[in-house]
Amino acid sequence: MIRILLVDDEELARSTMRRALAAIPDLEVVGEAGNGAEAIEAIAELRPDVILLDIEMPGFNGFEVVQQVIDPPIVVFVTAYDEYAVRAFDANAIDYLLKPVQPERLEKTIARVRERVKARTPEHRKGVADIARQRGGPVRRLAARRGKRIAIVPLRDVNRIEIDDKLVFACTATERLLIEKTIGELEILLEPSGFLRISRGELVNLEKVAELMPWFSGTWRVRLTNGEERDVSRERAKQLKEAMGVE
Amino acid sequence: MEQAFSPAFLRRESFATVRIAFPSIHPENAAVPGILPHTELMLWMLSIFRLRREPPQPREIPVLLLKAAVFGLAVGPFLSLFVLAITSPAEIRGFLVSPVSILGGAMTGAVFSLAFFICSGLGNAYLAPLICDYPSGIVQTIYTVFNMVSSTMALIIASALVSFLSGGRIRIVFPYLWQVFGINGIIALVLASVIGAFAKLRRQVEEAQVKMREKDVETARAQGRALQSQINPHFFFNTLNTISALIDDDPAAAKRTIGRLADMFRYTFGCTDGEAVPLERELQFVRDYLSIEQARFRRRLQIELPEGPLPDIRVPGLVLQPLVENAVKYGIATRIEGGTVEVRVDGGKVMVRNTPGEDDRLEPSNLFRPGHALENVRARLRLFTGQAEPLHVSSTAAWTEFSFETPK
Repeated sequence: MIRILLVDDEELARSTMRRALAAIPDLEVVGEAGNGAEAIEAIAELRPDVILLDIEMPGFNGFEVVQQVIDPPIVVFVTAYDEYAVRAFDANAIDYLLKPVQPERLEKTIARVRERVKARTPEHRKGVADIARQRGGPVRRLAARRGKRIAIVPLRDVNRIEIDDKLVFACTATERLLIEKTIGELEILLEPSGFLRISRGELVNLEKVAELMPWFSGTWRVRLTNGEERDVSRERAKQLKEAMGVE
Repeated sequence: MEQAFSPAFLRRESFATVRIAFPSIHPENAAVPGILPHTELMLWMLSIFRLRREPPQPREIPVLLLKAAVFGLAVGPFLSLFVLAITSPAEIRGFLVSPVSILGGAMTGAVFSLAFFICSGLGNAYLAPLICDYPSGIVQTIYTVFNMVSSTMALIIASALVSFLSGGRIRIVFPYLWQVFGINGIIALVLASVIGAFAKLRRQVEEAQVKMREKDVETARAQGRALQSQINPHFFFNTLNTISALIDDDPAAAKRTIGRLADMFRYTFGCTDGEAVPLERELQFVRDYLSIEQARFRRRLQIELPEGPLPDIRVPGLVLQPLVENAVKYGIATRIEGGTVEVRVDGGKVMVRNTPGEDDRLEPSNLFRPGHALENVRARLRLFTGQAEPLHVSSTAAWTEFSFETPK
């Protein structure tokens, strides 16, 4: 049984897809999500084998969902019209479906997905991640946990990201939100968005850095625009200065 | 005074001074390039009047005359020195140690300056307002001919004056007088014909440019036609998708949607470029469009359209729907909870509002990209209203608004 998650912001589109998939015996639709944030949550919760992922969605679009998910399942992108994305999919052997979905086309795609589920090839996932990075651009929002709910945090509101007792938190002016990613993953994900690691347990938003001052024995300190001061480790100081264009 | 004019230098002076004004006349100098020094000298006086359309007031003239005289007094000795340096360098020493020679140089300079000023300078000043409305080719031709004639006159008058003031002690010799007239005349003719030819050429170039610009406008029109007659492919495919879904769920709604899509295409094909249509017809198009989008977005899309009778205004065909579509794109599609799209009409002003999108980027460079629907709307409104910036963008925390005014 292949477990599928449907992600589309239009109820109608989901119901059509559900009906089409019902005709295929070895599939099970384990859940549906109506926007990117719900999708990220559902992927973490349900661990589906495959996601049918609409591209045009509010909150996080399909590419951003892939960027935000650690260890994503097999992805089939779904789009009504996106000539650039379709060109990129064709060039990289990425699975995709065009809406309105035609039954023959759906069967063919599902056949390929079956193969992929069996083989669990890492190339496929790398290809999907590459496309998502290219087409999604630098990350602009983070999926974070606010109690039981998934919140979308615009990165421009995040001052810094810190580890506290093995958990990772994004700190905005008003709150701290739990992020279900490691600091190492975030460092790579957010580097193009202007976040920099300043110590083992911390990233800062370069846009929020107000001042960089020398501290004790080769370490530095940054003062953020909200007045907070954070330590910069010796080995990270050089990168930080480079990123700020002072060295 | 008799003594004063006796040094060897001054006896040669008349000849040297003639050459101050017309260095080109001396057979040892090349004729045409030599015209420059005399023009340069004139430029200073001309500059007094150059940018004015009115001639100088009579009460200004004494001051101007004084200026010319002072200029001549100041420059005269230096010019004499310059000419001496070219013609007989051996006499420079004698000139420099003799105050009388320097005074003589200054006086000669003043006389020539005044003569040139009165003949050429004032003439130019009174000429300028008479001819300034003619094409520049004609203006320059008249100036050239006038200055040639007037400066020749000034030369003769000044030479005679110097001779007269020195009591005949300075011999004024015109060994090259006829050459002066001849060369000046030839230069005037050549310059006039060159300038005339240039002016004609320039007029032809300008005409060609105007023709090209007209062609550009035509191309833009054709492009406008091509752009406006197509429905946004995103919308088209999304609608097909909606219909495909509705066929199973709600066949009646599917039929309705197909009917509306057909109405939209009919309207699009029926609109000819640049033609103004009653606002009501544009609004009907918008209603069709929004009802299709509503099938897609359901509760996320709230709509507010003007109700009751509309003011009797006309708008260019197909400008309203792209604005509404843009509002749906940013105010509804990017917002999980959706929002409101609103069309308001107030007098001749038409406004399209939406709940602000999450990342509305309202800088004009972002909004109006070539080939983009909004840029197309702006271009057509520009043609229609004649305003440079017909499409106004504004925003508050509650809404983002695009608006335009229709001409009364």
